[in-house]
Amino acid sequence: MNGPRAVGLPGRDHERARELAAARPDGFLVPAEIAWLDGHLAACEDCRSIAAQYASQRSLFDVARGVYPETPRDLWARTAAVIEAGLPGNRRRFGRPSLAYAPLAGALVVAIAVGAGLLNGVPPEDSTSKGEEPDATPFALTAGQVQVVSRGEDGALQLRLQAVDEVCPVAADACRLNPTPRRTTTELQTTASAWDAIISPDEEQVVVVERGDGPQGVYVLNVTDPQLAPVPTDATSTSPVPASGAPASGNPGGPPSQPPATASTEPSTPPDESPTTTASGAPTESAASSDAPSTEPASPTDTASTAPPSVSPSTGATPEPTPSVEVTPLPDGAMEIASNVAIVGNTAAYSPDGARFAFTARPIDGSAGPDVFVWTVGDPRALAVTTDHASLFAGWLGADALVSRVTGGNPRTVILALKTGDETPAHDGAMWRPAVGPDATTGVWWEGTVARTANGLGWTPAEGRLVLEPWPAGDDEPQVLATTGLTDWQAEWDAKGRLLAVWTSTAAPGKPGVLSLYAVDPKTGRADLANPKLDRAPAYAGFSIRKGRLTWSAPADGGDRTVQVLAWKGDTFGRLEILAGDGTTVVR
Amino acid sequence: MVADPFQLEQQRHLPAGLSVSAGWDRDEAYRFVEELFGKHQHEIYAYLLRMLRDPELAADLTQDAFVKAYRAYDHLEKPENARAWLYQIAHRVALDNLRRNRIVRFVPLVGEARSTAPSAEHLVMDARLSGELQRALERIPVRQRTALLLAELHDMTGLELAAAMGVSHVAARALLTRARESLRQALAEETRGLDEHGAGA
Repeated sequence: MNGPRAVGLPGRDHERARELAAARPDGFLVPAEIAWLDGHLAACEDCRSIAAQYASQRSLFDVARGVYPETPRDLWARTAAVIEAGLPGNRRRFGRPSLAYAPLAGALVVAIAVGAGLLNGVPPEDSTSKGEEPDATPFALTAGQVQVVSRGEDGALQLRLQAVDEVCPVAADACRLNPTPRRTTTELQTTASAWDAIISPDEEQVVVVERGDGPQGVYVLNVTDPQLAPVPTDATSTSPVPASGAPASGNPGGPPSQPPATASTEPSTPPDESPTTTASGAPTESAASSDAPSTEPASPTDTASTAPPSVSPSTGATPEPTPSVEVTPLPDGAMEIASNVAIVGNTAAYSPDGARFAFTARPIDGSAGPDVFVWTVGDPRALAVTTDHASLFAGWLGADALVSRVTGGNPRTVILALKTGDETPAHDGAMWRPAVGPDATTGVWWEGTVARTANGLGWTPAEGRLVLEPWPAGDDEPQVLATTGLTDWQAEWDAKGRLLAVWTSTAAPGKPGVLSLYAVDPKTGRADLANPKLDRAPAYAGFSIRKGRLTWSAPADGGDRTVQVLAWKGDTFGRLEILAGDGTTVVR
Repeated sequence: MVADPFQLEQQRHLPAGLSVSAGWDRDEAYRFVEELFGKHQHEIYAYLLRMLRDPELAADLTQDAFVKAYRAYDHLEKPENARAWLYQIAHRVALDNLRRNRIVRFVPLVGEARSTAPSAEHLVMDARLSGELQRALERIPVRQRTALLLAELHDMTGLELAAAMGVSHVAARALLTRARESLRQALAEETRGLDEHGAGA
């Protein structure tokens, strides 16, 4: 934005005035906002000029407003025929060939040959045979599922469960499996272009974290029968987490939140046609979203701070009409625990005991940097546990949170005890976003410098290396997993700490990186980097390693995605592939 | 050949291809959707045409949208909100198609034709927007443009827009606010470009 200037008025008033002026033509303003805006415009010529430009935009559309084309004459006849025939999806009646994507939606095929050469010790195979004939015998695994989230035909996100109880040996071209698919009834309506999904340790809930442009939310969905096991939404429940009091809404330091997005299996009806005071959050929705960043953020401080446990929520301390931050339960027991925020990083995770879920978010308006939020299962919302606007959730260390932040220009990590709010340094040296193994004896972290991201609200690795070391430090030379040029990573062990999966990327967000799987010596904690079980397989961010299955989303021919599963029982490894359609995300 | 697992699931639960819940009257739903079609077919088709820029595909998806409306009839709580509800269905149908085809395009209502096929702009608009506005609209992000055109050309209120796009009222307001600012800046850039072009000529 070009900064309007008027003597005697603070800069944020001008910003607010412009936002209100932009919202005015569409009838969004409540009387108090209109009065404030008119008062400001009377004193500010620059803002008046811009407000006039907004108002004049409407006239540019006058010539086309309400002008619609004629539809094909037989459109209703054909629509009625489909309805009466009761044939879902029966279309293409206008002479168009079927679209190429159709067979990919939700289809499952066995196709182990694709990328089989990535597996250690397995020579590259001819990839022309994919499940045509049973030429190998699948082997059984312990029972388990692969969970993915994809967008259904009606646009809703759908959680899909795929039992993977057997896989083909990695050396086989193909074998015949007998899939027993299931899809949950839990769906989430969202227009987010991308999302992450994280399942609770008991596999009864999935948290969906929106990604992409615009305000984002964090939703909790029930995996089990939502009618029988709704998510507790008692607003009076107390959280054991000492929170800063800031709910996970667009303005951690300010008032607004928003009504929840709809979550249902069918389209919802719009709300009642009445102005709502909850709209007061919108004026702070500046053009500083990811699709139009321009507002300078508040400068993150080098001095970290966490809120004392005694701080109580401050949601009512504002002169503006203030929306409730209580979150209305959504259909199917789903609930929105954060709204109108920008999610930072990809390290959102449940605690090992499944009692809490942590993530990093910042206000969507760019007015502050990121803070760590923790949602205690059963609470109506997530609460900030840091207030320095410069903290990133790195992972869990038992019941404590690992928080990374830049202190004095150096990346540091602290252990934040959620019960007391106390912080202790995790390591004396540079440590950024550590992931700690299940027995807390080894960790993977960035050892080096970090640099500001382009929008100034986050950090990215700069010079240094991604290392595997004894936790929190050891005498041995660290094992180097990646070096300078890294843009993102994820490292996770299996439950026993015997296998370590490492995903690294040198590409822009949203582009695939590479995923490797290493055996770990249980005595030393060192990984067998020379003999990976999986060697640099192309993979999108967000893999899962659970119950003897490594699952990731990979690019496929034609720009689609596949879900790859590498599973093992003892020392035997097998693999299968699920074609699940565009945008499919593995639940991790 | 392995069948689509989710198709199998659907066949198991929906033997007739339709969901018939308690109190759901097929004839009533049919009449309702027929009436909806009569009232809103043109604007739904126009919206899908603007989104997809393909008359045949837009017609296909208009059909899909009304079929989905029929199936979801029992979920419409307030008939007076049917228009926004219908747009929401159409919006999802369009987004689903765009995502699956990895095509993100939005019709410029006038301007240079991009193919020899009948262009959407010829079919959509009798009255045309200025070329300057067209170019400015093409500069702004798709979601913002969608919100702006639904509000401006389809006369949607903020609440209707929120329902149609499947977002909260506050999110719709924020989106539209950003859209107006983006458009203002894009129009200013267009004006500057024209001035520079004129000065250079």
